[in-house]
Order: sequence, then C-alpha cells, then structure tokens
Amino acid sequence: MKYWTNHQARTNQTTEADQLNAELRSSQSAITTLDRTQTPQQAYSNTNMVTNAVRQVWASGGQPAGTQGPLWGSGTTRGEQENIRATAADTLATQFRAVTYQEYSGGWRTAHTQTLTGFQGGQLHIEWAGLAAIFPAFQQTDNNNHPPNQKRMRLRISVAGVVMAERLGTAKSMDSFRIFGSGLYPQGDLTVEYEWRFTPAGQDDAIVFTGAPAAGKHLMQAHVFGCKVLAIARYR
Amino acid sequence: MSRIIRPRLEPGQSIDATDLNTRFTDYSQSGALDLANHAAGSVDLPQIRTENLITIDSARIKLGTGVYDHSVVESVPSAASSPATLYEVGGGTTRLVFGGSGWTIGTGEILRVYWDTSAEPVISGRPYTGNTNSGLLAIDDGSSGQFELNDCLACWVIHLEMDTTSAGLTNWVPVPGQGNYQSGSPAFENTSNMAAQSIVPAWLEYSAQGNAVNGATDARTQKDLHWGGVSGAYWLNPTGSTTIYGLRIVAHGIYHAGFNAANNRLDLVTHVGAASQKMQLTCGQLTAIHQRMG
Repeated sequence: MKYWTNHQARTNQTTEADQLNAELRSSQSAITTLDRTQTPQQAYSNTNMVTNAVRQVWASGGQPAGTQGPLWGSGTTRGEQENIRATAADTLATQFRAVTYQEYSGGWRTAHTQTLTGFQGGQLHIEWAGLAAIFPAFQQTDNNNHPPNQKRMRLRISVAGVVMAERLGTAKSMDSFRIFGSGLYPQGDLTVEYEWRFTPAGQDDAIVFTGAPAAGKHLMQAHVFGCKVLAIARYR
Repeated sequence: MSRIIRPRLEPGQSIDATDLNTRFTDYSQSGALDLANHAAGSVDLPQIRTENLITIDSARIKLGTGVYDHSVVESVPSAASSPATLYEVGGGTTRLVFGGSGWTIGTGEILRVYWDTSAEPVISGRPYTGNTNSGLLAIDDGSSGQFELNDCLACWVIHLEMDTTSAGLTNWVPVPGQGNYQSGSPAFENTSNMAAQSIVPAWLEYSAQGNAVNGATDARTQKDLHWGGVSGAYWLNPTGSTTIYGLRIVAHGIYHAGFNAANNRLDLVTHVGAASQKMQLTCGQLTAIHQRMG
C-alpha cells in the first residue's frame, strides 16, 4: 500500500486543482485497483476467497440428512441402473430384478445424469464407482466360437454428449469397478451422463428358467448397482 | 471498499478546504478492500496460501499382509451360520488411525476413501450343487429335460467401516450408506445400502452347450478362480460435522443375489461354509483424503 506523497489541505489554505489531481493520480493505482506487485503474498486462503474460486465438487447422494451416503438415486433402487428392469413376476427370487434378454437387445443406456451447475471452465475430473453382475455361462459355447460372445458390462462417462472415458467392461460374474477420466471443458453448466452397455444375446444363451421350481421365469443377464459419482473441477 | 467516483477538479474551478478534505476522506474508508479494488490478474499463486487450501488431511496405510507376492496370505472362511463373522483385513494392524482428535468432516467438505487388495476365491468341488439359494438353474437340455448349471451370482463382500465414538477404536460401524449384513435370516443387505463395498466372485462355471437345438446334457465346466485385483471407493459429504477416528476394511461371505418382491439384495448362503471354501487376501492400500468441496 502507498502513503500520501503530497500533503493534506488545511482550513483556509490556498490551494489549486492540480494539487489534488496529482495526489489522486499518485494514489489511484494503489487504492482503487491493486496490481500484482501490491497484493501481499499468501494473503488469500479458503477463509477470504469465495467458495468455488479455485475448485468445485459435485457428488451424488447425501440425502436425507447425510445418512444415505453417496449412492445416486433414491428409494429401494438407490445406486442401481433402472433402465432395464424385468417385472417382479418374471424375476427369480435368487437373482436381481435387472437386465434380461427379453427386455434388452443392446445399445447404450444412461443410468444416471448429473448436472455440474456453475462450472466455471477448466480441468474436470470425474469418477464413477460401483458394482456389476453378469451371467457368464454361455459366452463361449460350441456355436459361439466364431467368435465367442464375450459378456461384458461396458461403461462410459459422457460430458456434454462427448465421451470422456470408456471402459471395455467388467467381465467377472460379480465385480467392482471404478472408471474415471479428466479433460478441459469450457464454462457453463455441464451435463454428465453415466452410461452402460451389455453384450447382446449370443446364439446359445439360455433366457428362461426351465423346470421346477420356477419354470418360465426370465434369467437375469446383467446388472449395475452400488453406484456413486464424483466430479471435481479445478479453475485457474 | 468502494470505488472513488467523484469527478476530478478542473483548473479554474472553485474549491474550499471542506471539499478538499472530503476528497482525502474518500481514501480513508474503514472498509476492507474488495473485489473491485483488485486489478485483473492481481492475484496469482504467490498471493494464495496453498497449504490446506484444498486438501485438509490425507493418510495412507498398507492394507493386509504387507506382502504383495502371495507368499503370505490371510484367509477368510466362508460362513457356516448366519450372520457371517466380519473378518478385519490385516487383523487390526492395518487400520487408518486419525489420532486422538480424529478428522472432523464439516459441511462443505468431503472425505474420499479408496482401497485395493488382491483376492483369490477358493472353492473345493461344487458345494453349491442342488441348492436354489446358491444360484441353481435348470437349463433345457434339448431332450425334454433339464441340466443343472449355476448362475455364478455368488460373491464375497469387502466393505468399509469407521469409528465415530473415540480414538479407542472399539465401536466400528459401517459408513453411511453401507450395511454390515448382520440382520435377517439368513443375513442380507439390500443393494440400496451398498455404498462402500467391493465384491469378489465366489465361483465360476461355463457351459459349452446352451440350448435345446444342441441337445446338451450336463455340459458345464467349472473354472478355478485365481488371484485378481479388487478395489473400492467411497466418499462422504455430510450435511453436518462428523468426526471420524479411524477406518478399517472387513471381509465376509459367501452371498448370492436375490430379490424379495421389493428389493434387490445379497443373501448369505451358509450351506457352503467350510474351511476349504474361503477367500485369500494378500496386500493393498487404504487411502483417505479430507478435502474442501469448494
């Protein structure tokens, strides 16, 4: 900060306009707009910087009252994909009510949509963690050797309609996953879509339970559950 | 502080001491400088106090046996009765301990937790044979009959627990959004309560034949599962302050997928419980990061 360089006017003193103007000019840059050389080092911290000045975080979950944890959605299907969900009547009691080949023939489905309200432009990092189940038994049968019909739960994160990260897929019957990516994005509210795509039916897939005790029930082929998402922006 | 917008004096314009002192007073306001007093680009990294600006605390510990090459393992036996005993990975020596004051996660802050380890499910024979709760499927064999095949939707569970009571670390509970599989008969947990867990497949089998056209008869092949990496993640942004004194990872099983007309869930299966049906673990890491959200 600069100090007065001229003098203070006193009562009944003779003065002229340029006396004051010179003082104004000498002080203006110091007081009305500080520049980089005048701003003290380490003067700014999280206590005097506005919220989201250098970073911003959006996380799923948190309600009600912070007891839910980070799972997306609400109610009994919290954390699950709900795009393909067999009827309860068609679901075996020993499987998930989820993706069956009677209802799913392929393609990407958006399990969750998140809006990054107030994104100011900069580096964006996104994580998606969850659990996946697939029915693996018929992915390499005698009829599927040319080529085999590998069962995979493919996952991808799209930001404003552009893919940020994609994973070939979970391939274990019961598996945990974490897919994450980052990139530079322009200012504005961004829409993030969390998408899955499962391998369509092969030539030999069994799709119904036959025989006792649940003849005719549809066989679950895949599911995504236990999902939570986190987006972190870094601004400069 | 405000900007001074009083117009400049022009030569020849009359002025007295009161006017002049008023102008000097403009420069002695008591208010703090604000955004309007900073030139564009006036704040750069040297002006920012970077310590604790984003990350408040972080901690990491080697989780499990401490040996990565599978020469030393710890075994988690499958439960023979309900509920399953929660086996603490590392036997209590590889917890994340946050000291006497713990970590207080306040509003506008987030706790991020990550873990990984190496796991090998070990199954002897087909202990799940003939049991519907373990995923028995009846598949059309092409000859008006069925052959038995398993859906392989059985798994081990590895989940995160915390102690919010004291630094004594004797009151472990699952983190918000996660269940501990101690209720129900047999014990179960709904999928809507699985915010902080990893799962490991318990067994695997394939069929070379799959439909009536091929006339398959009991064509299944059981495959051994070998060592594989498993990881998990959790984050908590509480609506009120929460003090956490420690974190630990527990493992238990075996569970199987289920649906009870309202909820998808994992149900404990106890009929495969035996010392030879187990999950082996070696080593990984448990990491926690306490950060500001904005």
